[in-house]
Amino acid sequence: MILSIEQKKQIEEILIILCEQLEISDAQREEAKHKYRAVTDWLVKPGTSLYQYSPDLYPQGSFLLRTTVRPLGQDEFDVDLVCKLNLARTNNQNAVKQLVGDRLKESADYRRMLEQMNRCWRLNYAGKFHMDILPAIPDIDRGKTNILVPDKELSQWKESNPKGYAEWFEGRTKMARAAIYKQMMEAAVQDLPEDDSRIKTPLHRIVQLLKRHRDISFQNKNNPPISIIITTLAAKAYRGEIDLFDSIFSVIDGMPKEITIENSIPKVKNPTNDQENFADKWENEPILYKTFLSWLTDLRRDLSSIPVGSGIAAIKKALVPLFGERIMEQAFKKYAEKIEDKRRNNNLYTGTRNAMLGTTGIKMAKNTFYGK
Amino acid sequence: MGRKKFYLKGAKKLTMVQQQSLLKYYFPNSECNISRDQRLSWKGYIQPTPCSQNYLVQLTYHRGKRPDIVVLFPKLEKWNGQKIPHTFSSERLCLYRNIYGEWSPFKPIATTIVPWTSLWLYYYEIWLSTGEWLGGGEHPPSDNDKAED
Repeated sequence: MILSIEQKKQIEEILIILCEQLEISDAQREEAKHKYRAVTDWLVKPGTSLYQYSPDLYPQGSFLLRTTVRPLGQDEFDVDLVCKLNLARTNNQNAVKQLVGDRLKESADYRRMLEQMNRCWRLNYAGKFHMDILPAIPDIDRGKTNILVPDKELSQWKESNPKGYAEWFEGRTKMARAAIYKQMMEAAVQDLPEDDSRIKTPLHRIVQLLKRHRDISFQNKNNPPISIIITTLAAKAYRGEIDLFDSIFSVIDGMPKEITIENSIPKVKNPTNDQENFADKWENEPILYKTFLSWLTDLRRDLSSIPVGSGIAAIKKALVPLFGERIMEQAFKKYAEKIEDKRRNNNLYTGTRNAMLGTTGIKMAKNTFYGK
Repeated sequence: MGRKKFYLKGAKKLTMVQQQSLLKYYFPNSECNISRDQRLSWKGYIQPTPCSQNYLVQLTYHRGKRPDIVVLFPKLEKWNGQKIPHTFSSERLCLYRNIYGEWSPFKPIATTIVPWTSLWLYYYEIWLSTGEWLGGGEHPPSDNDKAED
């Protein structure tokens, strides 16, 4: 079905509100920062066990990229952190992990909140955050922001570079951020941010929507695609578009092409480290690759069948199976609030083409709906 | 409290022809006829948002009385079998309260009633999506759903 520009913009508005319901709010983000700065203070305190290793605690993953999506069925956001210690790679992975854990346990508060995970330590801020602290050491050979982190078996150091990855991701959104910022300036938007560094682009939204759709569709299914693969392929396929609706389709279409096939093995290469394959599991489990492709196919089909012109309720009905019932209800209520705000501020108008609500035309006079 | 109506000096109730002209001016794609016994009948398409349904609405107005608005097509649906909020009997839309002076025969139907109809349809679609009427409004105190006057 062919959509008009206005129809696309309306659906974009709804999808963006959906993303805003899914992501960590600015206030929650500030709170998380506050909390992990407190953890940092504890870890670097002079005279304590880790002080000599100059601990450096910083965020990685979706918190850093600004593509957070609250996990299904929990109130807490996952905040992933790296704790880098200046230690040589001759050190045992588990030993380094225990160093971090031991220092955390020296605080009664942190000991209470602490949960040991496979490779990292989790601090549970009940109802708010799960802070996963991954121990790491510098990668002297590769330098810069490269680090080494324990592998799943805690027997080897693996190369990693979350800061480098974030820089790459930011580079993929640079042009769009500048273009959107310019639009905001030209539209004399209130509360214009200082610069474009925090602007959410269609890529951010697409990653959020894909992750959420994955969460919903794999509730009762095995082999959900992992977030780093989704994020990397989406970012590679994204071409800097500023229109969300059209770019969702072009990104989904482009993602399979960004999978490199080497010797018949599908790989998702780390854009900042050619040697690293995020899809290393796919080699031995071809079902994962198949599942990934059919998931994308289903999503694309579902998104292109959103009914338009059959009413707002029909759109909600189509989006619920993709993104979840409660969140869609929340999103539509927030969406309705926007018209109420305009109405309250005397800023709602009715156009002359089919009396469409908007920002031009006949100013809406005050009225009170009545009747039963 | 007494219901004294204060008229602006020189103000006149709009005539049927004036109401019709304004309706045709603001909504050129609509139809508006006045019968011999001075009944105004307006029919137009209203689509509150780009993704909304396109509703065919009929408005009938007889000198001075509260205009009647009904949705001819498509048939209005119910959420969970519940009665549609803010309607009178026969699903006539209830768009304003007389006691707040929101509408009177001094005011053009085109710039009040018709926009309110679009707003009503918007909130109706939201109500169908969420089960909640988010457009504000009030309800009569008893089971009586008669028009206010």
